[in-house]
Amino acid sequence: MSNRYSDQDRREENPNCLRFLRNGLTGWIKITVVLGVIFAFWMTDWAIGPGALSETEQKGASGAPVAGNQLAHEASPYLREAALEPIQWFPWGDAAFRRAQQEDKPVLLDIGAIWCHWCHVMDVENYDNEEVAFLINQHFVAIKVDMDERPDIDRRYQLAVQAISGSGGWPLTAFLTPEGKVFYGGTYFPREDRFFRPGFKTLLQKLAQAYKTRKAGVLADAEQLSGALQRYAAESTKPGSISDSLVQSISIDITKSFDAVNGGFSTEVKFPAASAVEFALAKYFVSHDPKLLEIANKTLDAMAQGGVYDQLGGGFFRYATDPQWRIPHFEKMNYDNAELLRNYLHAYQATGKPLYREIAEGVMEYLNGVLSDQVNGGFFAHQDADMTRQDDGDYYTWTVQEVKDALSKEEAEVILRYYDIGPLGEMKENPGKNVLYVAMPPEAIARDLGSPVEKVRSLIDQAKRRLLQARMKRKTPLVDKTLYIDRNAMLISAYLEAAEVLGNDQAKTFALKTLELLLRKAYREGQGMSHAYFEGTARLPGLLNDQVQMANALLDAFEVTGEQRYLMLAKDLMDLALSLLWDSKEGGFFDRPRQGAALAALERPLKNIEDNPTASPNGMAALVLDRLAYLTNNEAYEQKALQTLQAFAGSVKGAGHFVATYALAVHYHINRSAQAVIIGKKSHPKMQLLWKSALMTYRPGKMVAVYDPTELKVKDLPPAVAGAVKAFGVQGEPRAYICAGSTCAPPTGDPNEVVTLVKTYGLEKS
Amino acid sequence: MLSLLLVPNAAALNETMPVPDATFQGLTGTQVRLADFKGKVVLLNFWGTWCVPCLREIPELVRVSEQFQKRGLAVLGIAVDSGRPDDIRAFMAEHRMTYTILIGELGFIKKAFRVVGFPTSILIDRQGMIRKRYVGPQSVEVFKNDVEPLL
Repeated sequence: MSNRYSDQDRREENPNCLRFLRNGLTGWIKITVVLGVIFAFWMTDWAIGPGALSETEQKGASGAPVAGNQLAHEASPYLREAALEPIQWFPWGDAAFRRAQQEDKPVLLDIGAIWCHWCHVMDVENYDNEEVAFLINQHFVAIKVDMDERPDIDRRYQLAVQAISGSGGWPLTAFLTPEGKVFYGGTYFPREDRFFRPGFKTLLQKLAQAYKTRKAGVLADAEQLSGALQRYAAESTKPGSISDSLVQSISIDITKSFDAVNGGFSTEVKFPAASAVEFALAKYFVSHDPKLLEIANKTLDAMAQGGVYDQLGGGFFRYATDPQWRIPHFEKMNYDNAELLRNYLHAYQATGKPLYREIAEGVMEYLNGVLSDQVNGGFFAHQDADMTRQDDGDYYTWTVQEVKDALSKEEAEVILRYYDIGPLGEMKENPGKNVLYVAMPPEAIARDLGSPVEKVRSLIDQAKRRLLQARMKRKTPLVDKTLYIDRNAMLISAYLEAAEVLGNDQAKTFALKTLELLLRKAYREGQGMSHAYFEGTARLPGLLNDQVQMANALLDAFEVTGEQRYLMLAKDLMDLALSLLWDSKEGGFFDRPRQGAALAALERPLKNIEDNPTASPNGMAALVLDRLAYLTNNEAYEQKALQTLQAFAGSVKGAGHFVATYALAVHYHINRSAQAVIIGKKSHPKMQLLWKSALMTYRPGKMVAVYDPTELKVKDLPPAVAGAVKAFGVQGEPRAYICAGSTCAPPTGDPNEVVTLVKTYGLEKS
Repeated sequence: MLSLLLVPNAAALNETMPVPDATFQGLTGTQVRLADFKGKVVLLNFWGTWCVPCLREIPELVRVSEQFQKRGLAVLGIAVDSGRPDDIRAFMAEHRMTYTILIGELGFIKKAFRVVGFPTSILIDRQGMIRKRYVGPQSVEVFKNDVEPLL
């Protein structure tokens, strides 16, 4: 309990929902801009205090609150919730900016999320408040954006606010010129002034006044920031050549930033960094560098035992506010759980450690039970941190009394030790509340109590079940049932892997059901995948991550089912991405189509290479293109993969775990993993055996393709597959063709040989 | 750095060893003995129509064959597990392969030539001695450099 006070302090230091990238780093390239006018304004006028606007300006003729705003018909539950606030919110769109230009008012842009605790605090404290509403309605045009719904908008304004305030996160509070350029911003603001920091009311008045009285300076500041962001964009996409030594240098950076004491990266807050763990496991497989295995093991062990894992209900929270992974922000995102599920599955394959399997199963249990539509398919977006707008993680935390009420005396005795539950917990708002993390191993508890360790273990299991039952009586934090396509695709891939690794057929069935749902509801020929699907409507087609993640999931589905249709659809999506999103000048993909007029910051081109918070879209694009090149025997895709990787090669040094997916893509591009083509009649028992052997064998980056000559026309097949199919016509027996690097092993019909070849072919003798 | 091949006893079939005698099947059904090529420099290329890296090497082999054929180089592509002779002929036409293609039996090739990866090429001098072994696809420049001194 020694560090509890510092943990509490830490919670207070960061009053917003943090992003994975933070603290003045935009990725790894620093962008810091000091905006002259606003800065000078604070320095000179701060002493006078708030209230600088004249009385008449404060109670202008149009200042009467208008009932309702424009958000009631939005699809996002976050925006719908704000429909009841007294602010005249606009959704993102032309109408809002037109209004700002007509009335020559600055724009207040609030970007948040329904799962975000500090967004709730901001709402309750400020946006529900009549005084604040009056100021906003009087002097600003207010726009509210759901960050999950619009990652393209969020990303751009996060960069801008980070550049001037040093950090980003949610709620993101940005002040824009009527043209949409940022001139001031921050995250959470308390309503009233606190110590020497301005409250939101003061801020609103000051900025309104600055815009009125020093407009030229404000506009100049906005331009200056805009210029800095352009320079940043150029810095973050510098071309170069790719090599093993580039991968090695990123690997060294990852090792250096690893927290060897607590696992994970960085020494303050802890985000999962699943891509870095994925990279470490994949690279360990070929290099046998024990440091890389340690990165994976230590991180996954610590997370599994920490408060960042829901010890009772399974599934991971978004991040921990302390280096020991103990005190989380309690929102659960489907995408973190997708990436972590893959981490634990791969770590289980690599080490055989039962804990990893247990956590993988726990994550799926949570997703199946809470975060998915088991009947129709689909994974819901996320679950809120809180039960109401007012509490702070009460659903997940426990007082001593609550534990005692739920358990027998014997169980309580054990569990209070196991999770270190005491009268002074970790939660600031409610100090009696404790976060559950494993603090004492069962062996130590057994010694303490003088009971056999087996008994302690069974008491722990029993107590966990009963605490979960007791917790279910609490008001369940809201689940946002939006289906985000990129994240669903990630979960489909993870579930298909779970099916292979754990032999879990239900996972496969549900993954394919979800895949079919997305294809029916969110895919249109010529437009590709939409970003979101909710209540019968799909919206926002054409974003890179949705195309790339879905193409990846389709390729995974092709590997598992052998259905050509999935391969063709994956190809369609990547062709579409290449035609709509490809940067023909410098290579790589933009995050959204560049055609047509774009509003405000969306005009700025953006190519993502950081894993923020999930695997980077350009890194994933390169991985998918390389897979496609192999599966279709089309070198053109490989060329595009290479150009994508080269487009960023000059700017990734020093970025460490933020570019792990990129590093993995470079690694696989240069060092081809095992690629198995299996030819035979699908229903043939020996064929099933060969196929299964290839799928279940652990080899990071492996690919498996199955073709049934009795189902396919040879003319539709890639040339090398056609060759194999013709050979099949002679042999009539199923055969596996396994290649790696730049050679292929002799064809085989022996399942054991398939296992050996998939595992080791092309590797240095291990 | 990671794609070093697992080649057991590669050294045993390396430079300056006599090539094992072998008989392959021609596309018309005739038997062709390797010994028949004694006096020529032979570039023996083990490949298959199913093997993507092999397909990439084909244009390089075509070029080296066309360039040195008249000076005494015979490029022999030994197709393994690649279907009927008609299939192979169609494949050759499609890929504009102008060098000689024979059919080899996988078990025999694995044993006699210790082939563990495709493509594998073996360069044999006019005396029937193995001079070089290549695993994985090579460029025309690599072949040229090694072939020319032997002619």
